[in-house]
Amino acid sequence: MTEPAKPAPTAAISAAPLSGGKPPAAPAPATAVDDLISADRLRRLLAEGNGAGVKVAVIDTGVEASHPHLENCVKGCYEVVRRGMNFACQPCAPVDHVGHGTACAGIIHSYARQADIYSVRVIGQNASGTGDQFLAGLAWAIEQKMDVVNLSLGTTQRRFHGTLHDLADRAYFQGTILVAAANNYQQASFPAVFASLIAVDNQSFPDPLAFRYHLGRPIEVEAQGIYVRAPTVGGKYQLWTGTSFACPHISAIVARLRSVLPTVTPFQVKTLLWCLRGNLEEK
Amino acid sequence: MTSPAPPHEPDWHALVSQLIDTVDQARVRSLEAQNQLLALARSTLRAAEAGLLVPADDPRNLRFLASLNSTPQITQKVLSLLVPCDRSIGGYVFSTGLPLAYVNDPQAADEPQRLYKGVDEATGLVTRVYLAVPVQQQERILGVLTFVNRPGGDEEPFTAQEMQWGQRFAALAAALLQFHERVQMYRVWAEGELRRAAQTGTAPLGPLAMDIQEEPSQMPLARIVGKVEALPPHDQELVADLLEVLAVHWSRRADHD
Repeated sequence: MTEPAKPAPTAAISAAPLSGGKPPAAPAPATAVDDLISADRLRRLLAEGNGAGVKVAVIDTGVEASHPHLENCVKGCYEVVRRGMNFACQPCAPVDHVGHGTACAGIIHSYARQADIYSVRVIGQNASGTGDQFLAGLAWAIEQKMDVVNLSLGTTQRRFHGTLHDLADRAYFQGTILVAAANNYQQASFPAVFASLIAVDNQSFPDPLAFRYHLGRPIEVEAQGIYVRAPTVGGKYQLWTGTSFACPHISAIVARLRSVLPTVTPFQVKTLLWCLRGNLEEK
Repeated sequence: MTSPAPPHEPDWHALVSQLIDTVDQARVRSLEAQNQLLALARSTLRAAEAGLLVPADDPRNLRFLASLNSTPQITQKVLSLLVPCDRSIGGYVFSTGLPLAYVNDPQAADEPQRLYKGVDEATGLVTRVYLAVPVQQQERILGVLTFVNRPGGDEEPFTAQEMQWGQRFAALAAALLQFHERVQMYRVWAEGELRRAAQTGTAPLGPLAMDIQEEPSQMPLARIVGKVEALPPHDQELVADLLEVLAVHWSRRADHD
């Protein structure tokens, strides 16, 4: 919401397949990388993807796993607790006292129905301790080799910058894709500003899977995050607005891509998203 | 020719008490300003209720420092409430610094869902549309501005533009909150000085207070806070961490004893 909606530049998209086929007799020099990749084929892949076999961690306020909308997609619930001077991640009841994590998990499940969701509860009793719990939860998700980690949260505190940067790099090199909600007003939020992950701002899109990709900005992706109908606690639904709710749309898209391209790396996922950019305008 | 009379010893106790009165007036004025700002924000965002959540003494909770509601009775109730950090959207916004809004599902035929029912139950209000934006100064989150419902029972959701406006009001609220915090800190220091004077049978701002310049170990809490405030944000956070760890340690030791 940093600026009014405006279409991202769209590229001329070739209908040629990614590989194979007879090359044209006199190929024109490629002027853009996305000329080499078929957006049509990517869209087909995206349509085929359902998240099957993909593990998505939702680091948030917990998830009400029994919510009918979630259809038993939640395969594990964990919480970060303080143990002496340290924090540890341990199994916990499948509950969400706030409703935020349930909404995020619900959005992911809506668009990646076969993905396995793992809830990691990091919002602690003491507001001042949340940053540490967040770090511990993220470290745990990376250790567990989750395929996608949805981070509809962040911290503005610079003291976490270094550790979060290391964790984001670890995830990047390992192949775990982090998707983080941006703080879109005045203050940079970590880890959303790191280049090794996918940061998401919110915008209004009629198509929930539409998004824009702004190459070269710290926050590269804009996705649907305006009054998204999503589950909340008590088996009910609410309509939510915020970058928090744009983020899980992109997590779902990444889960779909990963279910059809299991070995795709974070770098490749960003490239594919870039090639799919402006998919709303292309339809 | 007579030499001038030696100056009378000032009444230090009266001076410090006067200082506390002045500080109290400033504190009241800062709250009045916060309420005026809240009223302006409420009217600009067309909200029925507006509030400013800040950390309570118990760090597990937030409390309303200011609240504007349909009746003074509701405001009184709201001001006495505690909102748990880990069970409320306000707490989520405070923890993460991310603004958000929600509206109850218009398709829901039954009783609308209410997130953290504590405020609604205490006031008899039903939250239908809600907006919460963080109040932050640089990287530090000081509180949360909340806007609830529309006047006249209209259920129109808060718009993205209203969220942006809310964030602008939050920036103004942050400046006032910082002023309020400093005034509060000054009062704590002055009260402590009066208490110390009463305990030691000396005048306030006496030798011990003067020695503070020389002997850091005798610093009262307010002076430590002042020193910490002068540190860069990163160092402030380290001190906060250290104090938190010590607090946990002392609390456990007290339990053990």
